[in-house]
Amino acid sequence: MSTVLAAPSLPLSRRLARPAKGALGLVLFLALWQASVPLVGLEAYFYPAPADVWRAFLDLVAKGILPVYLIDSIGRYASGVAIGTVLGIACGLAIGISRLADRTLSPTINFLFAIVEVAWIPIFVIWFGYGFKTILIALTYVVFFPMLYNTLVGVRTVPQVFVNAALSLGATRLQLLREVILPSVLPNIITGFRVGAGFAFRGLIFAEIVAAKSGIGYLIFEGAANHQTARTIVGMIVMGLLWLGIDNLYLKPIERMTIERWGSVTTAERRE
Amino acid sequence: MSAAPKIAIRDLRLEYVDEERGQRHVAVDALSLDVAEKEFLAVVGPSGCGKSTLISAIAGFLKPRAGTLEMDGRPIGKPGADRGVVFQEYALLPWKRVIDNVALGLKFKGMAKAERHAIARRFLEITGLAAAAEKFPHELSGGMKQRAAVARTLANAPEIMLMDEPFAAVDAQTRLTLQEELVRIWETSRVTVLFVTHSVEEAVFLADRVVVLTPGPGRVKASVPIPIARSRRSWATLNADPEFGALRDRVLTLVRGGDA
Amino acid sequence: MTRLARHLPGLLPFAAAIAFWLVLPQAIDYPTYMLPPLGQVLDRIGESVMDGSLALHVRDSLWRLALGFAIGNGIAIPLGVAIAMNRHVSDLLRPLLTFLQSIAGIAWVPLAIIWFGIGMGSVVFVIANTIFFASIHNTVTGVQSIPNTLHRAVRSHGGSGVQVLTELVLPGALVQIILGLRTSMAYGWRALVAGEMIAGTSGLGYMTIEAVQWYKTETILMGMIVIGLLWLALDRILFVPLENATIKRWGMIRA
Repeated sequence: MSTVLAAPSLPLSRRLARPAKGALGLVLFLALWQASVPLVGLEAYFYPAPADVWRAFLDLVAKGILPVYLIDSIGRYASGVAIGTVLGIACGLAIGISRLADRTLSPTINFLFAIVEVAWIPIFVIWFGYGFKTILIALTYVVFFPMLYNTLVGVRTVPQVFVNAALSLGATRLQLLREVILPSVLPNIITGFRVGAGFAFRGLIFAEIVAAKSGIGYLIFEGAANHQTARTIVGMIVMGLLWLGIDNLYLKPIERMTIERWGSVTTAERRE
Repeated sequence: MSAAPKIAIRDLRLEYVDEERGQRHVAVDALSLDVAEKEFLAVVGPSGCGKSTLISAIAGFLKPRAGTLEMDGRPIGKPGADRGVVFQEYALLPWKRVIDNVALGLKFKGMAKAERHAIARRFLEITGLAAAAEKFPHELSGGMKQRAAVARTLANAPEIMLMDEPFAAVDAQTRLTLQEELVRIWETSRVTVLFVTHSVEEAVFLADRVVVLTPGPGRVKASVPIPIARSRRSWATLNADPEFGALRDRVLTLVRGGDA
Repeated sequence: MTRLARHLPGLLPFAAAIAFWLVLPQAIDYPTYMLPPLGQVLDRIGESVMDGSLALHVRDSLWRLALGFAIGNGIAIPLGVAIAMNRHVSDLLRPLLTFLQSIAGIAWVPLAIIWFGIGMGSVVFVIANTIFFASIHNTVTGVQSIPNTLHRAVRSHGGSGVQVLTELVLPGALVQIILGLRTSMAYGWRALVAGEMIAGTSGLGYMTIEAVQWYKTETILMGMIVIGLLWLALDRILFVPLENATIKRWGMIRA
């Protein structure tokens, strides 16, 4: 929510009031939760209090479990996203530029797209066993499609006049690709990357629940299976914070950067 | 025109497909036209007479359906650096600084960065853009963008510069300035120019010769030489000039369907 | 180029895959559970259709999806309208919702199992949760994209708060809300399959993951085929016509 940043003209009181109210919402939520525990009167495994969750968090850190799981998750995530991104861009460019590649690959890709990634996990487990390989391939699969489709849209919407201008300046096919098509497609690639990175994060958690023996997803699952529900909630909160971190520290800045230099520029150019 | 023409067009037929309706349109039919070496030729005609399509064909973006299209006696094929194009929509790459846009064609030729930037700077000076070299295109006004586009084309030293309604998208005031500047720049470069416009005044102001096309499918209706001295071509001088007025009125009558 | 010649390259990968699948068992010796012969998969499909077990799984899955869809959107759309129209509601709830949204729907499954037990309740909870967040975003965007001048126009013609809602906000946001329904269904479908794999006692996801334990790979492949075809059918039958109808009626063209 960049509303605070986007509205510098608001009076100061209002600018402060908004995050304050948001924090109030979170605090109210926690307070209601804590206060409701004795009222509900259920077992801690069924309805743990925020304090229980905090203790479970400290315990997991002290035993070194959480850092190890976190590193495992991030490693799997980064590798899968990287491979899926590269493959998706490559296929998107190939299909966008070559009619033969389009005709050969598109039907297969559309067919594969209809089988949602979660449905692949069982067969991946059969083929690659539990753990890193299966998760890596599943994440690659998840990232591949948004990357491919966005790249493809980008290639198909490169303004023809840019292509014509480059050709008239004597560009070879390779120069055309490097100097015109790739930079022109970059904003679409960034969009695809953000979408794919989001899908992959959900995919990671699911894959770790079903097909791993470590990681944040596994922590969430293991906690519930052993009736250590506070651990499950720690896992969920860490997961949420991890995603917010990835989104705000990496994905949004990358997008903003390219929009500043490419996106708004390109639209302005096209409007005239 | 006794010397061999730079561009020779014979019985040209051009068609394009209307993307929305999927229909085929004849833009130009049985058009024959010569452009002389070092000539500044303007082509005018009512909308839909295929002026811009003609530019596309010479640039190599569009294949002729019939007839021949030659430059220096050789058939014109794919787009290439020998035929520079200035587009109405500027076509500056938004992710490159002005200097890199101007040096783009030289980069395609494999020229080293220092060398191509030196050449680009020279053409930015000629077009009055030296101060804007490090800016991005979106930071420029429409007039400055089109100056940069002209600089980009000239820096690439084409044998002919094809200009497709280059000043149609800028405001009226800027247009007058750009026209005067083009006269001045052309004095120094003397490249062959084919300039397409729907403005009769602009054509008469800029060109050595104005060719009028018939309504679509276009063919040559008349060719009007403009014997006004280059030194007199400023709006302050020509605005009230009777010779300019007479030539303008004559071309205008031709465009409107009359004979003159 | 003829139609056939145009489609020929696209068929090549399929032909190659099927040929590979047919030839492999004869060419080399490998554990067939890795990739059972095509004939076995077809036999499996035939059996499951005949004994009605496949139909039961499909029925259970679709029923959960429908429930989750109704609950998720039933909460998301009114709340989304409230957030978009009222600044205080928005300020109070947004950070909380942003955070809850960042906890991917599927991560709720283990907790849901504790609360609702294995089966129906957990799966529906996860679907509803996933659909809620996919849909609320589109509702808010839809309401906020109504131009301010239209609000003023309705107000200046004497429209009350309720009339603004019924005459302007709901119809104005409709196209976006319907887009949200479609998107949320796509997410909900994933949540369904994933939820059934972790917390199901029946359904397509359960059928597929359960087969992993017994290395019944032909059942896994059948599950994948049914999941793919069913999704295509759902999308085509439910949403493409709905979207076409509304988008055409409101004269909106999506870029």
